[in-house]
Amino acid sequence: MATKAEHVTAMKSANATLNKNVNGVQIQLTTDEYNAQIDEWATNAEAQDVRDAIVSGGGSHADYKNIRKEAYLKELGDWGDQLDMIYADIDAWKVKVKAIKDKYTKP
Amino acid sequence: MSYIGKSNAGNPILLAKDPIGSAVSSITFDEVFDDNYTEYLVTLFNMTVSSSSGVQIYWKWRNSGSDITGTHYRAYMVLSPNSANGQIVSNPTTSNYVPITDYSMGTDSTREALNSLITIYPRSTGPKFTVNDSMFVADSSNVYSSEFIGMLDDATQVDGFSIYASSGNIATGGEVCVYGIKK
Repeated sequence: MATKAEHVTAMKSANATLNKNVNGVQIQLTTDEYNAQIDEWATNAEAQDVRDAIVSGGGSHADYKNIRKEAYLKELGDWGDQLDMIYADIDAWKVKVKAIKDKYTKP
Repeated sequence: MSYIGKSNAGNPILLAKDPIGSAVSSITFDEVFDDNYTEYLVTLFNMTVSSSSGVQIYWKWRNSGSDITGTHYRAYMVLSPNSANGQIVSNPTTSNYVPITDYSMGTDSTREALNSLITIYPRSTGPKFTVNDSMFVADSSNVYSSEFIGMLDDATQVDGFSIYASSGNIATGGEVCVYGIKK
């Protein structure tokens, strides 16, 4: 998992200059625009790295509610599937739900 | 009365388009929204990104050549026909932009295309909305269909927008078009 500084270095290495299209015309970013864009990209990339690591291995994250929702759907199925599970064995369903809650925790 | 063969009274009208000829950090249309139309459509055709994974596409409102800042709200639903992944989410917020895809776009020779139809209304001094229906192929090769609704409660009258990736360039290829619709 790369740090923001590592992302900045990699992005500047991969993009010596940056361009934008405005009304169909390509324009090179100014130095200030370039640095601001790289900073935003690196900030987002670092945040995504952190989220991806938690989705993979578990942990605490501010977006834990949505991470749990994704896990419920992926591991337990949709509401219809889960109603079937509850009807068949509510205790087994609760164990699976608890495992996801324990894996992805509130900060 | 049949309307087959009759004029559509000029609706919708192609106002602008940008075939993406080389990788760019953002695609902007300024002064493209005005009082000649009451509603606009923006289409993204086969948009791709340069980063390998974990990329969202962001939308920014603009006016007079500058970004409009503020809190954006959204609700979205993402469903996958070829995997068990998906989510329905209400009320997350972002500052100064609104995502129009989830975070799982990425580059690969066989995937990453984003196709989207975005309805925009109004350009008034009241809240502004983007409603976009999209299909994209994620960095995991899962296919997703999504609907995102974005809202900016701001008094600025908009005249344009920018689209950019959360990280890395928008890659070569694809096209962005803007259409106007009169009521």
